[in-house]
Amino acid sequence: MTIQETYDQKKNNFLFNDSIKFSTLRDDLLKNFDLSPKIKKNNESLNHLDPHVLDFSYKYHDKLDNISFKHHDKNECNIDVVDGKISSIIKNNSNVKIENIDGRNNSIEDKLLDYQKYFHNDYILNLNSLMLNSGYLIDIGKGQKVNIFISNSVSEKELTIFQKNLITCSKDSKVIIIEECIAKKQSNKNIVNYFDIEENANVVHLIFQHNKENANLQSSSYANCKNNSKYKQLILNISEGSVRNHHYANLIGEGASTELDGIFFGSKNQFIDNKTQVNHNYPNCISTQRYKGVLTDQAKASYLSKTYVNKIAQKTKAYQLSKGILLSEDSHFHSKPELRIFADDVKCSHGSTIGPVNKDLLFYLRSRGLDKKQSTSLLIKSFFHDIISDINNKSFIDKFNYYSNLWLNENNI
Amino acid sequence: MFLSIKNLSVSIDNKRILNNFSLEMNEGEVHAIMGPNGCGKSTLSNVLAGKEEYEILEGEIIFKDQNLLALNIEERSQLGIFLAFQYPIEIPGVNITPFLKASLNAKLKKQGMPEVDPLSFAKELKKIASNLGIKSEMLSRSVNEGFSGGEKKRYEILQMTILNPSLAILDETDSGLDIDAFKTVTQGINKIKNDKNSFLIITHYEKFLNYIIPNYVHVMKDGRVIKSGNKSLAKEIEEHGYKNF
Repeated sequence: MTIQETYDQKKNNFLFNDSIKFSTLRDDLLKNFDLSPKIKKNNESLNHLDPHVLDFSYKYHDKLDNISFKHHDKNECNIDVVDGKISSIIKNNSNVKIENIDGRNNSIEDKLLDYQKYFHNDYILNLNSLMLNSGYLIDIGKGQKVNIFISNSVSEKELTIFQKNLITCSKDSKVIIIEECIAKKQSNKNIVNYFDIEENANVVHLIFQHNKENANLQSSSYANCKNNSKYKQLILNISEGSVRNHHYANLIGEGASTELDGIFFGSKNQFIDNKTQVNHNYPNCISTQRYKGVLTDQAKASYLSKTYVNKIAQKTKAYQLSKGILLSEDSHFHSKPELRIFADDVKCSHGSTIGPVNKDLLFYLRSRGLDKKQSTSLLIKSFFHDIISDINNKSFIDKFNYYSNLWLNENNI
Repeated sequence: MFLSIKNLSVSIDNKRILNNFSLEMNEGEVHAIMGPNGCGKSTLSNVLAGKEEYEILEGEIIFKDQNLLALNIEERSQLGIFLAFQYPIEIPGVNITPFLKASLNAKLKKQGMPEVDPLSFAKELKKIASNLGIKSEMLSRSVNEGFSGGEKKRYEILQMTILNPSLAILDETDSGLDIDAFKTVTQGINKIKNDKNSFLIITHYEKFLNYIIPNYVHVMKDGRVIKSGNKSLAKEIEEHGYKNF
């Protein structure tokens, strides 16, 4: 079925299906879903994508927004998201507003349409807007300090979830979000998180992705960071299915900073498509983009990192790092760092290395009696150490250690 | 014979580094190897430890009645060979204490012995570290990460003491040490030296050999031993260099 046919047949199932503004957007988007080889070749968003991801048949059941609420004593929120919508919430903080997007709220609709302007060329994000069927809103009040745990799962085989989430972190808030994206069933999840991070807010967003084979995920985010705010994101991707991680930060106030980090493991015939982009639009902002991955078998990964520095964004400090370890002859890692700098007083740099495990390090460890497998495993953990050591969350680090060990064992490394 | 190297020729990137190198060592002996830069001293130590980038062109190495060239890197270590690196490598994220415990356990496992008790291991490690002037907080750090040159060399000797090898190869362990570190390191080496283990010391300086007295001194040039003698040979080199060889 073509995209147009799917749209015609399923449009009543989409969010904001009664909205004129959304219908106009969708009509516009439909004009660009021609996937002729020429269009495909020229669309950067498809260059490194697993082509099978586009070969889906739309299936989604709109469930009633029947959220189960519970209270507890801790200053944290636990949110269960099933098939793109919140099914249960446990919290005690009334200054944290959490609700599903139901397609009837005009201000949410306007906000989503406003964000659309950033992504007019991205096929996957346009597909998300076209077939949008789920999502939620989290609004963290001024000065709130809260930890939020989100479990994002799929309940049924062959579901296609097109989800948009809006997260607002108000002035002076301090937020830690730990999100688990787990799919055990064959499915396709296309999730976009929009963050509004207001003045002096500090947000740490740790995302753990563990999707089984045939459970494909396209995860995107866009964070607007105002004065002196900070957004730190770390993706830990230990999935078996195809994963696309495209994450953007827009620094729109002086003194804002962001870190977009990622760790990925790839095996068999997996495609892992990574991209980060930071736009420095104001002076004195700092950004870091670091992605590191280990690949074996015939796995393919890519990492495009971009830094844009506006001419008024003096005193920018920006750093990009891309590193890959290839454990097999047939694994591939494509890395492309990009710097577009229009200011003259900036410090911007990038580094990239791809290759097998360092032979000298391996020799050192083996010369102390550790076998090759043990030594390789230690060196892979050492490889991620700089990213992991920046995380001050024991449960997330334990999860990293547990699942990275599991991956190493399953892949006989 | 404890260690017998016969007519060993070795190349790397098609360049012959060791050329008909021969050397014999008995148990409990200390041999020093001196020679100008580029004569093949570090290649010899790397080849003995099993580094895989080298191509063995001819010759044999017999260690404790086993064909050493047939063993891989870890098997050689487990058999009792220890190389103290000239430039110890930093390995961030690999914590010293569990790493050394795993190394020791690998050796014990090979010998069919039970694993070391973690508590007594930690106690012993702390004691040895203290003797070598290594602060106990360094034991919770990553391998060599952020260590000074002297600290790295002390840490190599700490590893050597824990693993208690039969043949220790010290590749310019004396370089980069200040006077205090020099004394601590040589004391540490002398402490584990006995009539059951042997040392192959690669050095440029006679001074090191005043602290660890060798039974034999060998002069290496162009990938082979060109002269062997006692400690007075080191003194001759210290005074006149290699021009007479």
